[in-house]
Amino acid sequence: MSESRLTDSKINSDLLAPVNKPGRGWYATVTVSALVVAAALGALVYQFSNGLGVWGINRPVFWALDITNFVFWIGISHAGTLISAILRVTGAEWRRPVTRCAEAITVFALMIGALFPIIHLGKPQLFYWMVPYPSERGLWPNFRSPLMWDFFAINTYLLGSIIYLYLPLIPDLALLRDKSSGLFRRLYGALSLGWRGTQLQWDRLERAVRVMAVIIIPVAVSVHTIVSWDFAMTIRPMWHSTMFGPYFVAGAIFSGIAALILAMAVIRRVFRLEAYLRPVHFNNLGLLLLTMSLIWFYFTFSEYLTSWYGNAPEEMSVFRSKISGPYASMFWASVICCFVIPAPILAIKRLRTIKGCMIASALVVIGMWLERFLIIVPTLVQPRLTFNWGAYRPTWVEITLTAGTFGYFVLLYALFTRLFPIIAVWEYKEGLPLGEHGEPTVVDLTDAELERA
Amino acid sequence: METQLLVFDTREEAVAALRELERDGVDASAITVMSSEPLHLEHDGSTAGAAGASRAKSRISGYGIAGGVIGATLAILLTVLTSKSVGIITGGMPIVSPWAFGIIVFEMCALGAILVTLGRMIYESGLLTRTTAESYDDAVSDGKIVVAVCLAEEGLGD
Amino acid sequence: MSKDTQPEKPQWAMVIDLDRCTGCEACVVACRVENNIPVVGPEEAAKGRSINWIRVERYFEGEFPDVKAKFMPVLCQQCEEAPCEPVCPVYATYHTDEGLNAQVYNRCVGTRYCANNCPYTVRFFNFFDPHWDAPLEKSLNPEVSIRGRGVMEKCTFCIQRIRKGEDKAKDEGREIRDGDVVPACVQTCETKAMYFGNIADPESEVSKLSRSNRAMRLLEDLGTKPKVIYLNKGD
Repeated sequence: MSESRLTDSKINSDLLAPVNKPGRGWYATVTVSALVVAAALGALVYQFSNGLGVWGINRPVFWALDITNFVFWIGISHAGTLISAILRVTGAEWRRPVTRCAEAITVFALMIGALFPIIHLGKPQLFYWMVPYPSERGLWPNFRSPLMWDFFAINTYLLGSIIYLYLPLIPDLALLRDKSSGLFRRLYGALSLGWRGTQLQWDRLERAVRVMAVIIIPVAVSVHTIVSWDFAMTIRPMWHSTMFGPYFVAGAIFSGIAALILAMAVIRRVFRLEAYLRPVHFNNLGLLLLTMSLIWFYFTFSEYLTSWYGNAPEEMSVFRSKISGPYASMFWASVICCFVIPAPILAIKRLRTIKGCMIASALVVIGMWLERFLIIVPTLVQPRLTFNWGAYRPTWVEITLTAGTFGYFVLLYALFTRLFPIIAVWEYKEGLPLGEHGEPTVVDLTDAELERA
Repeated sequence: METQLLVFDTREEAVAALRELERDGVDASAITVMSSEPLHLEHDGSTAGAAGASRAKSRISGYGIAGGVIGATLAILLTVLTSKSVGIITGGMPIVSPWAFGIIVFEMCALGAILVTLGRMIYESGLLTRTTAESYDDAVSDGKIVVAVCLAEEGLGD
Repeated sequence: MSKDTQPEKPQWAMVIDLDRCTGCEACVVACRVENNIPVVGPEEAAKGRSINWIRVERYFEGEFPDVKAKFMPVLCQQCEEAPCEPVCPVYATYHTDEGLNAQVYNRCVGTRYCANNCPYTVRFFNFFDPHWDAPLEKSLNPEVSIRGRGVMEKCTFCIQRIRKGEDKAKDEGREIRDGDVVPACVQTCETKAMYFGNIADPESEVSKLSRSNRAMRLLEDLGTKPKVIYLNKGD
């Protein structure tokens, strides 16, 4: 570690550089992702004009890639909560440069996930009938339906996450306000609500963030539980499982941490934030990812062992289709991607480098997407009355939409890093020990000390 | 009423100045300390006065809990009253279904808590109120500590 | 019975005698004509999207030359405790006081949750707008609405015929009796394998047949309390 002192102004300029001087890589990223999003929008317009028949869904596979993506993205959105909220509540110091990365992932992943309940409808223009309002038809929504629970849970979590992202952003918005001029100064000024940095404001901000962290943790747990209950509340074999709530939450946190590691690694490289996002951060997140991989394996093993041991015919047919039948290659690929390869990489300290964590995370993201698909489609392919067994193959529309979600996520994230500092400036400074002359130094705190903090 | 802004480079200088102001008998409510990160001045014994405003009792948590209760109540009213009013016959699960509605109650409880916490925080921290430009200096964003002293009469050494 | 049922209202039920069914599928055709069910075409049918409110399921047992074919017409069982009802977010499917599971096309937004929760796979979705080549649109039944795309549909026990039968009985100032209401499938069945009527009336044909020792219901252990009773002695 070099002896360079991080002065206040250096920290400011480093962390505001992505906002002020984005660089060619940023423009390339935005262009490519915007093109992908445009393609997906085209596919969406085609779908809205012609009907859901342009998808591969059929009878009996009424849900497929649409709901896979929905569950997947809502799952990714659990990154922010775990890292940011739980680490704030437990006072873990190493969280500081990571919190905003994570919170931004949550907001954008939620926004993307929440699109699918709208676009998968047979009549998407009527989605607002699921909003409780006194309608001219004299009808209210059916609150017994898990889809209505989804509506409330996802909206609460989205609003809560936006607020949870926004609150610690306020001081940085004031910083940007003071450093900008013209239109941007007014925009940041409006968004920062007149923040002056008085000690009263700091106190109230930190209090509110702590309260929000405590509220948002049970909300996040409830959100993916409720999403899992879209399946568990039915009577379909291999869906009607009491374990789905915790299983899905664990899987969500798992995929969320993987997404966070990938996002952080990219940001670190592209914005030259090597001094701020250090190996210790990846090490700690890698250990969390390992923990979640083990938990995921435990749940998956329990689920399949119980089915196999019970030997109920309607469950065994779905079981066999995944273990050795048409879906076997996807199933074993997901096990390899979620556990067999990542766990050793993350468990062995020599392999748990930033690159190692990135490889493990990329595999986990793929594996978890496959896992969502495998929960949904094989069960639907085999209804109880065997005469009605079917098959499913996605069309270009669904594949384009899926690609579009990834493009949209990258686009939103890139735009965010351009407008706001991706590392919370004040929170980072707060965590640094003060040097002799009141200036923060980073050389005082080694990785080992940071780990102990 | 005049506001004087004093700019300091380091935390030590600012704390020393606050101690001096306290010795001069300046009232704590006339002093505002602004910084680019929380200073946690309560750790410096004798400047407790300057940080006094922040040690005043905050009701954010209490309001949060109240918001939760309000949200839960609204959810119970919404679900029970509307499902009764729809007047549809159901087979199997009754139309007023407490277990199912409990999920909605939980979510709206959290939503109520979140919104009220945010509102109360904005209110207590004085954000969104019109603060005059006199009582702020951009130097805060450069890492300086700015102490604003609002006096009835002018005249301050240092 | 659901708690809100008035005892005087007829409770519709159907009996299908599997020992008489020959698997001719005349019921399937009759239903399609009566209820304006669209023909989706060969490509869509190959994708598994053909709509058949009543279908004849065919199972083969044994190896050649000792093969036996079993036929089972399956239609919406109008379950008393239907799994499809609580999951619809907009109340597009609900229960009537005559024991039917109703589908309101205008309320349906097409989440397809009901179809996923139906253990009998009797619900169908309109993936595209329905289409009838000229001049077939002239053969559409004016008493049954056309469903647009994005809407779920299923057997209604020919609700339009039920209403007609009930109106006729009311006009004649009498109770409804056997033969007043005959759904299209029951009407067409050549071997008279299907019966329809009011199971709340202990003297009706469906009531008597439902007490037969050959009577069974489909997937009864799921607790859906279906209203379609199958008579099946086998062999």
